Amino acid sequence: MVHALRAWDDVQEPDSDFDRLFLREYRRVAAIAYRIVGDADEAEDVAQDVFCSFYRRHDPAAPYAAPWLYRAAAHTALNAIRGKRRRSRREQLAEDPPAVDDDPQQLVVDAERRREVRAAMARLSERSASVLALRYSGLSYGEVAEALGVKIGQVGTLLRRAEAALKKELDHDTPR
Amino acid sequence: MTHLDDGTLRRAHDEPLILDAAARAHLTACPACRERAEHIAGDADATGALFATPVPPFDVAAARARVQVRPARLRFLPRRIGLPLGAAAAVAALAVAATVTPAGSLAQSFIDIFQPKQVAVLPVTAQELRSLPHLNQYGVVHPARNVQPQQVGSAAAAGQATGMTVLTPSSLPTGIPSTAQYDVIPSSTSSFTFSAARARRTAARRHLTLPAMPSNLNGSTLSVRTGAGVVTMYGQLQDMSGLAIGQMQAPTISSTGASVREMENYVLALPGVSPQLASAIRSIGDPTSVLPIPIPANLVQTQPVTVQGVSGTEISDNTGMAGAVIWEKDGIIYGVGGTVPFSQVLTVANCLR
Repeated sequence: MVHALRAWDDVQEPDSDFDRLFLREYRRVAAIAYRIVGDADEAEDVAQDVFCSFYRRHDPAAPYAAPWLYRAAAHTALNAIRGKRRRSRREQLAEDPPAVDDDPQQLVVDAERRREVRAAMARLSERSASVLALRYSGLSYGEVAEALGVKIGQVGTLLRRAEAALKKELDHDTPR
Repeated sequence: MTHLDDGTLRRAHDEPLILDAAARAHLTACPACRERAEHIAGDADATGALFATPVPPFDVAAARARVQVRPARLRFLPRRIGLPLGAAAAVAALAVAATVTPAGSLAQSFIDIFQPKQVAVLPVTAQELRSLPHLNQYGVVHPARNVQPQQVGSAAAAGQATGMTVLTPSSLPTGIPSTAQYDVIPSSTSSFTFSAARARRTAARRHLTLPAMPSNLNGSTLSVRTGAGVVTMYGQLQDMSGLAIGQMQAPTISSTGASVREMENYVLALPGVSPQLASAIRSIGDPTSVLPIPIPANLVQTQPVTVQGVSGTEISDNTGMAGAVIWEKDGIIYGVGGTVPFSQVLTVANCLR
């Protein structure tokens, strides 16, 4: 048990640039992926792939680390939802409601909404889907601009187009 | 003043202060811009509602426990290498990496509190690896600290860092560069504490039927101390002219609460552990004396072999172009593997001094 407590203490005191980057950015990277895949476990898979990919090629102390991770999270998550091979499993997972909500009717509505949004995101251009995922994960306009490699003044335009495109995709899906 | 563009109106919906006085005045006075602003705001609010689902509270510590081992593993398993070769080459690194891979961690859970005296390979399919349960869904993982390798300049330096005599070959196969790179993997301790409450939450969330957790298992902790290790690398495996030699002090395990056998029975019954894998693990036998080392099934063939005067395991990939051997002697696990035929791997293993 002493070993366990000591190991836990070690976790609280990051001892490398990679550790510090991971502890600082993991939740945000996973959140970006979650906005696209709509499933917590799959979002964590994406986040871990992104961190491993970054580790192999980059210095964890690099100033571009965070924007690189954010953009890669969106890109990897989009690839995941566009992969036909995993689609059926993913859709099944997405239909599993989270345990935090006890209202069965609301759970059904939420699950259906997640499914529709995920399907619509898969059909958007990468840039549109990315800007939505980044912005609605809580990134500021400046952070979104840095992640996408555009000027901050362009983010509003990209976001507006993305929201309009998403609405069009969802309207197209809605039975008349 | 010209009309405000859509991008500016969109951003102003989130950050009204970006509009200067002239722009605000225009927006107030211009019905066309006001109408567009309301339309854009409506779309933005509708989109916000679509993404209003709270983000799950991701467990960073548990995620780090899973991810931090990957760099070490990737360090020894270049992605560019072909799978069959990678499988064989992996074995050289398994002596130091097996205990920190997901499969290794799982397998280690079945070792008792003393150092195992033998190694046994455990064929595992990629599907079985992918479907293994995440331990953090059934308890709390206290991850090991910093298992990333450190490069040192010589075998002597590696020996000094690990407290082992680092063996080197008296000769190398033709075509293998003689320049060596030494990587030291520090010893580390990790542990896992079973949690009945966490298992119940997982079952509810995933609609799973879990095996009954024995009452004494709840709160039981399994601690694993992995020994220090050294990987000596000659050439590059991905260039088809590489050879790796690994050695690691055998891990030691301690536990509180339930017996290791009870822990094994519970974990092997969890969803995600295939009956075939569970049977294979059980068939390895006495967990106090045998260390299971996972290898990729269907990609390699194995058979017993004598190496350095003790029993070991030959592992050859299906192409015959790569091979590896693994054995344990005097409390140290050794592995040699490379992109050369097995006979040459065995020659290297037997000339280690």
